[in-house]
Amino acid sequence: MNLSNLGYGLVLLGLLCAAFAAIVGITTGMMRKESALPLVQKAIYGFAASMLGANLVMVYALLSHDFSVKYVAQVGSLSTPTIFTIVSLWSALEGSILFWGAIMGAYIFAFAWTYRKEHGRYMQLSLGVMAAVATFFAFLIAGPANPWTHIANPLADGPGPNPLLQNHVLMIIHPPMLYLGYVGMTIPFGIAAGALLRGELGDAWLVPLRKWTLVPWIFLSVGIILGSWWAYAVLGWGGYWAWDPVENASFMPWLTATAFMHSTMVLEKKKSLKLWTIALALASFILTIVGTFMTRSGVFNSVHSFTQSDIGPTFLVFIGVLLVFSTLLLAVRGHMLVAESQLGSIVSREGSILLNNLVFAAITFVVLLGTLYPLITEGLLHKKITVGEPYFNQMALPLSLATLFLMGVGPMLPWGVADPKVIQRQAIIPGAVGLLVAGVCFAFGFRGWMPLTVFGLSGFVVVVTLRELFLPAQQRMTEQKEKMFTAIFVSASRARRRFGGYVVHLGIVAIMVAVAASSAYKIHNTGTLKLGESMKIGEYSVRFDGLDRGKEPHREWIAAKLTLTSPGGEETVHHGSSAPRMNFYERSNDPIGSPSVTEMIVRDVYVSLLSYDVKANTASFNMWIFPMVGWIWYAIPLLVLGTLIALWPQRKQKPVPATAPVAEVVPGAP
Amino acid sequence: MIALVLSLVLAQGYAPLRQGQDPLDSVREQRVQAVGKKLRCAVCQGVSIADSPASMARAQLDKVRELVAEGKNDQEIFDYFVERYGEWALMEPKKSGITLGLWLAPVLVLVLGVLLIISSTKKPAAPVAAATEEPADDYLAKVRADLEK
Repeated sequence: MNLSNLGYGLVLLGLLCAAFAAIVGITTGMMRKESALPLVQKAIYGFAASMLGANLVMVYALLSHDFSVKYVAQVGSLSTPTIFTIVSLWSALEGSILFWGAIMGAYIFAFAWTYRKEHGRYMQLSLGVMAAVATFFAFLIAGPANPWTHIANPLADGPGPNPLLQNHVLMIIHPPMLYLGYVGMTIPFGIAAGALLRGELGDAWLVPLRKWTLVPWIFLSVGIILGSWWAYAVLGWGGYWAWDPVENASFMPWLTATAFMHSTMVLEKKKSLKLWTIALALASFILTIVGTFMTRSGVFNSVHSFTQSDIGPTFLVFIGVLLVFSTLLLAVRGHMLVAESQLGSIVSREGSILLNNLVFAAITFVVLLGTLYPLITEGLLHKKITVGEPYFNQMALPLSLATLFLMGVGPMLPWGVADPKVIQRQAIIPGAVGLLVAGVCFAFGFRGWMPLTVFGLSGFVVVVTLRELFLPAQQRMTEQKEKMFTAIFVSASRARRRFGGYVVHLGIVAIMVAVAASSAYKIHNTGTLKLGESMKIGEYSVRFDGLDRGKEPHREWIAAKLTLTSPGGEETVHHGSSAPRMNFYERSNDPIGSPSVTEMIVRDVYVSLLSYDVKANTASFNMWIFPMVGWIWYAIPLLVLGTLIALWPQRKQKPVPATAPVAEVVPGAP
Repeated sequence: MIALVLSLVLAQGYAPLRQGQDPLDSVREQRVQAVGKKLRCAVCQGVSIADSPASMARAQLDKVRELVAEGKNDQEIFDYFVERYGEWALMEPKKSGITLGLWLAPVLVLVLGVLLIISSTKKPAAPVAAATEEPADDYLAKVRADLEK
């Protein structure tokens, strides 16, 4: 039996299991026959196992260079280093969808297993909906994007994976992170759709909904940031974010999921915004599918669309089905999710969260509109237009400032109705610190209303956030005489989500400051240097020490050796792998540059090689200094830490005494 | 074939088409970069000619440099590119014609959203009556209650 047949067989098995779980789960769920649950669970486990198996077979085929498997013939090469051979599992369309299937299997398995004995009233429906999504992907792998086709007379070697993907170690982690974010949104979609199909949304079902949105959210966050880091470190144009359609595609579900995370607090506290929150969960998932469609169908050309094929129409149909299904569900079942209480005034915690949701919805709308507008004008009016970075920047800037402002104001406000005097008292210190920060920055020569507003607001937000984080601990220290660390630990573990959320806020503030500083105060220089010549970039100086060339199994490269002199006169030599290079891959005609990036806490010095002349011994460079840009990626640990704190499982509650009424069963829901 | 081209490139040098225009003085060069930021690179899609390392974009940026050196103002340079490549060449859509919707629709969404929020929240009530309704910070109150046990 050859690997093609084995792999394809496993995919078919997965397809069968998923389809079975979907049909049985949804039908028995609708009929409320909870006895069928074990059957659905077993089918889910079967799907997960066969998808995992199929992926292992593909990895084995790649590692053993079995060029009779179509996908291996497409991306494999004897000269590719082993690590990139494994990575090539997701370096082209078919493989990435297969990998997608494995992640889907892992997620659904984890979800089904975690709650195998809980939430019986929703479980079949939710698992059924998730399995329906899984069925779609298994169908893609089995049909339109089949990587397993057997090649009767295979060649002895293949072309190797896309060179862009072999250029940097970040390419090994960035795509899986994004996939984990994208695929994971299937779970909250299933949970929300299950609740809608059932026609009720109890408090108990909210807990998994929240947690299982947070999991893909953090992967999406990390994936997006790593992607921007990769673009910055590899593409050589000195930027990290270009509002490219594919970047936008990953940003939109992040925005709606973030909005969800906030509106869910109003839902819990005020039993209001149910419909909106559920709609956000549905939208986050649909946007991931829209995003996948954008990346994979080739309607947009971008650096990321290295995996194009004709699966576009299949995806369009799926998106259509999802939209109709979700809209119908919301329309038919929506009235069952009515608010149980009135919201307070706009100057309150819930008011600020409503505004936060509006701002996030508006950013999502801007990104969606800007991304789709060129398609619409071209399709309907045959007029080609561009919606580029300047548009998105202008629209996103005021909205981002609004989120920053709300991040400071929201936590200060109480639920319900606020007492203006209390708010005034609370706002004095953070407000003063904010003004002070902006003033000090101005005194040190920083100009421009945008960065100064960001710095000032950030100071304000940081003070508010730190106060919220540590005030409870301080109370414990004074009243309980606890030591500082004990007090922080105990107060944090008493309110994990709150504590974790504020830690994440600090990370977001760091990112905003970094974006503002690096875009407002960057310094650029470009020019051609002869051997031994130097040029200035800000207070730094760069000397060209000659060309260097080398050969690796999968590429050849030319590097320009540099010596960087800091303002203090300290010299750093960039001769080896840290010199800016051009890499030549056999597969592509244009070279792929790797810039030389000297990362420091307060600034990066970024040099990229534009062209060179061996005879004249000259080289042309593009150089930048980016203040604080690294803080965008340094914020990742804060985001992860905050999320982990929020997700950390609460110790199981002590069993309820037998006399307490059992609250779970509420029969007769319409 | 590709291998042959490759060895040639490696031995002699890689220079994009028409590369070699030295930057102008820093004031005018800043203008070149700013104008370049607003013009679209024809081969890379989605990236401006100031940002793209592609040879075509470098050549176009040289053209901008040339026009700036000739004393053309920003609008004239944009017109030059629009005349040749259509409105597609502009990174920032115009605030008129069919692209006006891009600029207005988000504002409309915001206004509608704010109206919706105002209508669904209470009018600010008299603070004295409200203050007793709920403690200013329920979490702190909980901590205090915890400690009193």
